[in-house]
Amino acid sequence: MAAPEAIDGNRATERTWQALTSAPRPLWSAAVVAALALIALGCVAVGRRWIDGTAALGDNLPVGRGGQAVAASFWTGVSAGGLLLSSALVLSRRRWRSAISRTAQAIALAALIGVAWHGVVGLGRPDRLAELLPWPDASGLAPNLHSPAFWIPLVTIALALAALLVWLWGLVPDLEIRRERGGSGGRVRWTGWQRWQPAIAAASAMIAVAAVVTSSLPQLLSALPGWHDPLLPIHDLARGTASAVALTTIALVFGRRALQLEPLITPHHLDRLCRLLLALTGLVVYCRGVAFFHAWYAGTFDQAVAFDGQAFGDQRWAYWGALASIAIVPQSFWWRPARRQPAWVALASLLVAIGLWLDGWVTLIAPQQHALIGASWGPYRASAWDVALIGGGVGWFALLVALLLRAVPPIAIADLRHDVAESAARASFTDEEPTP
Amino acid sequence: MTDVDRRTFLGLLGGAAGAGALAGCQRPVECLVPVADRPEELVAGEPQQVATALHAGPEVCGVRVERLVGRPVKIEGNPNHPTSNGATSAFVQAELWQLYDPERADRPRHDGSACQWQEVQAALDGQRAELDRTRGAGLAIAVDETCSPTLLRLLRQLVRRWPETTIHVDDPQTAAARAGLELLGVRGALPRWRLDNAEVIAAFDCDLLHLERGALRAARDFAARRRVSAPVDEMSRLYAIEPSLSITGAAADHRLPVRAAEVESLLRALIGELANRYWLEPLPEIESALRQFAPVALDAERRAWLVALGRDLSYHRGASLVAVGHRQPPRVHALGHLLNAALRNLDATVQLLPDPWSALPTRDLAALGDALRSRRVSSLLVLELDLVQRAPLVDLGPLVEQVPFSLYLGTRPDATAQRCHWQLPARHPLESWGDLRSDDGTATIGQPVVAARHPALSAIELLAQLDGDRGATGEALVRATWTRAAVDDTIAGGSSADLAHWLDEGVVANSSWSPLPSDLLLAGLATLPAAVAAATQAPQSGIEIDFHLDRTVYDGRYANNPLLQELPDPLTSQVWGNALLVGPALAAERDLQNGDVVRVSCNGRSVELPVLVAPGQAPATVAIALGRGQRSGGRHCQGIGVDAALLRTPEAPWFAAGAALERTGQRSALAVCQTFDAQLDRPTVRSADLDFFRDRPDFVRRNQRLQPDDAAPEASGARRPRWGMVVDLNLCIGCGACVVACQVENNVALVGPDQARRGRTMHWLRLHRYFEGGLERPRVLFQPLACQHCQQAPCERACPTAAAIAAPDGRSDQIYRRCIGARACLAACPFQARRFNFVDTVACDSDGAPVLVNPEVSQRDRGVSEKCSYCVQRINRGRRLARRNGRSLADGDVQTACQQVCPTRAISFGDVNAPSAVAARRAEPRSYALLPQLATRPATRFQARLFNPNPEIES
Repeated sequence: MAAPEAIDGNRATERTWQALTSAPRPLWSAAVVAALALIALGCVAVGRRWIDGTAALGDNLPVGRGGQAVAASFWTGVSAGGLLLSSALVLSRRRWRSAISRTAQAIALAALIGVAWHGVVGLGRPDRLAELLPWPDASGLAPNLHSPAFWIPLVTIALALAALLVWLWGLVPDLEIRRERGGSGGRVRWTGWQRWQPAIAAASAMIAVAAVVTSSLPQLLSALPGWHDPLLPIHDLARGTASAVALTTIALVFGRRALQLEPLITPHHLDRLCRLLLALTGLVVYCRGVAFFHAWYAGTFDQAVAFDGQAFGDQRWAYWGALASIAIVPQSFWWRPARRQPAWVALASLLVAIGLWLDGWVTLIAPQQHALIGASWGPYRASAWDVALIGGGVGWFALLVALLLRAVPPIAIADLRHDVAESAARASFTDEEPTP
Repeated sequence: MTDVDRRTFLGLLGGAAGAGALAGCQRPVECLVPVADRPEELVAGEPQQVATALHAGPEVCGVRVERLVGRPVKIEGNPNHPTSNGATSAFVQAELWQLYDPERADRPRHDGSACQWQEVQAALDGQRAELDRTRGAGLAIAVDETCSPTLLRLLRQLVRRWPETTIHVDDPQTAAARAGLELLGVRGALPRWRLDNAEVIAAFDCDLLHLERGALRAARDFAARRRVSAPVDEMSRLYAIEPSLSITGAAADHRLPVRAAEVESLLRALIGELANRYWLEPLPEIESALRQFAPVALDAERRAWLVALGRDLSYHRGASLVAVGHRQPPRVHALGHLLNAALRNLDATVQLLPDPWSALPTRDLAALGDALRSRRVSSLLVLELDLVQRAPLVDLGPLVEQVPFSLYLGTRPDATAQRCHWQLPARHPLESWGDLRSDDGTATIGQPVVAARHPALSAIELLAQLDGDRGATGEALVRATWTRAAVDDTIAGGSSADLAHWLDEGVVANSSWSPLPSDLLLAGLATLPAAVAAATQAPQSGIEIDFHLDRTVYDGRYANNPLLQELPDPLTSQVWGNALLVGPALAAERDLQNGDVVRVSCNGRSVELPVLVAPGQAPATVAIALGRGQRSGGRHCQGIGVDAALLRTPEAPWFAAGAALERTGQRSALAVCQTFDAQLDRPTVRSADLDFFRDRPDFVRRNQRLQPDDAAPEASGARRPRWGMVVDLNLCIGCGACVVACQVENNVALVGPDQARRGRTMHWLRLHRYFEGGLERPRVLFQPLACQHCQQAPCERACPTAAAIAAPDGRSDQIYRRCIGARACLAACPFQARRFNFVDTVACDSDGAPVLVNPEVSQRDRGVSEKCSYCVQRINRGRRLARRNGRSLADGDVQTACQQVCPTRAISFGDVNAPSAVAARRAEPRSYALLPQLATRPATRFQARLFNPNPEIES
């Protein structure tokens, strides 16, 4: 690992420019190839899904919404979480944000392809999506505005627009990088841009929250014990944000390594993200704990059955696997060296991300297996094609993240330069230590 | 061309285009001639009803077949017929598939290759000459126990012509009962139970509500005495003593799981207990016979149980019934008669009716096996009977193969057909003339409701041809039977006007048998033979293996019928296969789980099959359903399940001791529809004892904060009609007829074993079964559950495209066209009543062969959610008919398919806002809605199940 070098605005610009123009390390190419392989696998699965229909999936009765729904809601959470993270960084004006926010936005954008991929593949008749268009058909029937499922595509589109706007907005001054490179920089004073940035961040944060809450509404409004739970949107939001932070961390470790951005993305950044991850996974564990507490303390039969079904039913492997990785792995982040060792940070984040995925799995699937009519309880197993499609989703996400890291400046240069300039002007650092 | 300017050019272009378009608009030159004279009585779109009869499952059922534009689409019971009374069994419902089966035999075959009918004729001619020479020596005819007067007439005729002929009847239902009476010196008679007179019923290894002869009528009569509308109403009481849980055992108030071999000793013990009690008061004729029985040493619990049963039976003497099932040996039947006579039940709940087969010298299949083995059979005629599959012998196949002339008449290429030289395609009963008598003697002249798909013969036509009557048609043969002065000893024929009337009614007037005098039986009982009086049986040890007829494919004749293969067994919920039923205790002892493959050895032979843990199975017994695992006969039966017939012997056809279980270490994925049997703390089937109900008639509503009716006032108030359904769980015996009826009526897709294993069966109406109490002796609760048609339906709220939408008449509709398959409704429905088309079933066509489909119901595409519609097509038809007749809909105008078939009339349907039967039932104290706490206000209600236990028996 390169020793942290003192960096000023110009050097940062230079470094970023190099990352964009010079050939990446083989790691980047390897990641792209792996992603393409996953996508190819996913495309084969889509073909199977096309031929066999929903029969190719593991969905059944009673689990009408299985693996694809889990994946779609996971990517929704990641997208919204990425947007929330970048908005929170902008709004809080953390001085370490510039190295992270662009990647978080890339994550938010890339995750949307997973939402679309799994959302469409999971539909019984994707060719009839036009029925969702909000005008009446020949018999005067229009989509049902009371249905949360109707609003989910709409908020996903809103989420996509917000993510795109935030990303583009942050990108506009950075595209000046080419012109400013070599000069003293900072000729243009981007005052209007700066004024609007927090407003956009705030609005996009609201959209992100709305997206997650809306996508949890079908579960919240159903009568299924385990779904019908007021804590569910909080749980979903915490899970989504935590998974976004975990994936951002992985992307940052990947980016600094593959694009030689070690001087810009420092262990200090990873440290901050690890702290965030520790807090957010704590929130997820708290939500799980409350479910257990209700089941045990409230003595309500439905809650007890819901908890039983999750923790000791067919999907108990997912429940305990999730708990192990969410509750235990991040505890290593209490130790400073663990937060600053990129390899461990990436591995731990990966474990946490998988754990969060499993947490979503068990939340979505186990309650369907243990519904209100005992006789309709039944098993569920994802099919091989389900797994391939999920792999395809991961492939698309990884490909897009890798491309976005290379296509545009991976560091928010303008932000960084602004902060450096500002702090230089004030000549007093309030943060714990000097950072780029 | 230079003088053509732009305007002119465009004008010319337009003109040319217009001319071209006009040229395309010309009328077709073919001359179409519409049908000016449509066939009389045929109105396109209006169904016709044709009365006929079917031998389906264990019995003959009078039916009306509904035809739409000449195609049979549905079978309903004939209300004029006393056995069905308008109801049908699952077997009858599934007969339509037997008719439409694309794999049906379509042409005659000789040694496996197709041949001409002339060759068949020639072969028959050759046989006739040969048989005339030998007086029939070597001719064996195998038939099943169908009672058809014309068939019997022709068989008698053949026997008269060729006296050496032997006739072998496969009679699993009647063999033991007949032999039991013969033991007592009564010949030519069969017993029949009258449950309409029975207040206390003891079923000894007897599934009299489902798999015994006359089950439909029995279920109906049983239900009539179980209907409780007010707390003052009385209920009959049913005791069941049986090894593995049956429909009757599930309906029983008390059930004693015992080994099948112990049934005899228990019956003896019961007689012994009763014979020495003052309360019996037997007829003087049989007192001496009774005195031969002494109390038997039994464990205290069983003894108390038997004494309580005996006291209950005696207190209701004359209105009690001891029924012994077909699986028990003749001795036990004789004991049953003795007990019934002692209880003065003869002529009241037990009748003796003439045995239609008594006029013929018949033998059983075991005798045929012997004859084949000793090569005494030179020509074998098999009439619609898969004897290779069904005979309790090791392997009849090679024996059949070596017969010089063997001819098989049947609808499918089953194991027997494969072994015979000549295979002739048989007509389905719905394609042919015929006649049938049900177990009470009621005769029906069967008429074809559709033309035969392929040239084929019916059994009577074949017999007539063999007899030399070459041109005989089925119709002529049947007419010849029924216009004779005496059809047989019990019934006279009629004029052709009578015949027309009988065909129209579906019933031959006054044809039911009058009971034989019971003095015959009393005389036999007075001088009780030693074989009956003395206990011959040594107590058996080891594991007993029980064979029983399959509850869905019966004896295997329906094995290639996917409707029945996919009908979940009511008690195990298994589809597409059978399993070794093992009681929970034995399973725990041997550490067996569902799906563990074991090797079962018995009588020196063994089969391997998966285990299914079956609550209620008697200790140290295992059970296998027969009829599965066929090696030929169609793609729906080959390799599905395991053939247990290999383990049977003629000596022990139904149960044998000394079975050995051995784990193979393999696992097999069972296709089980219901994997969870308990209701936990969320009672969806409310149940109570009768006394409890009398104390607290409103028990179903107690401790419920939210009642179904007060959740929210009706937006539509007293709008009419508002359709609703009430299912009386006290009457439902779980036979599954409603499930198949719904499937046939609504074109509900069949998914096959693989998809069923993945939990994707499509039944709109599912029969749920719950076990209560210990798994060794559980109480069984059935619940047919379909869409509840909530007035505030969660699925309607969840559907993004408004494909699930409330209908103005109180139903919840599904518009398939709008469905995008998001499956939000599946997750939203708290009753899990919605089904999803994971598989494309519509595309699975059958190469142009006609398909069983109801044209009034649209077929659903892949990726579409669907559910019960309350048979909206029937509602619309009822409305149409009422309007045409200038009146409004009356109660009973609309019957749903499930309601119409139900043998026990458990389901009622109608306008809840009118003074209708359904409204009355809704108001009864036992009525409740499912999950009222959700305030979905279902239009379907259930009525609580009641048990009528004997207070003397500790539960």
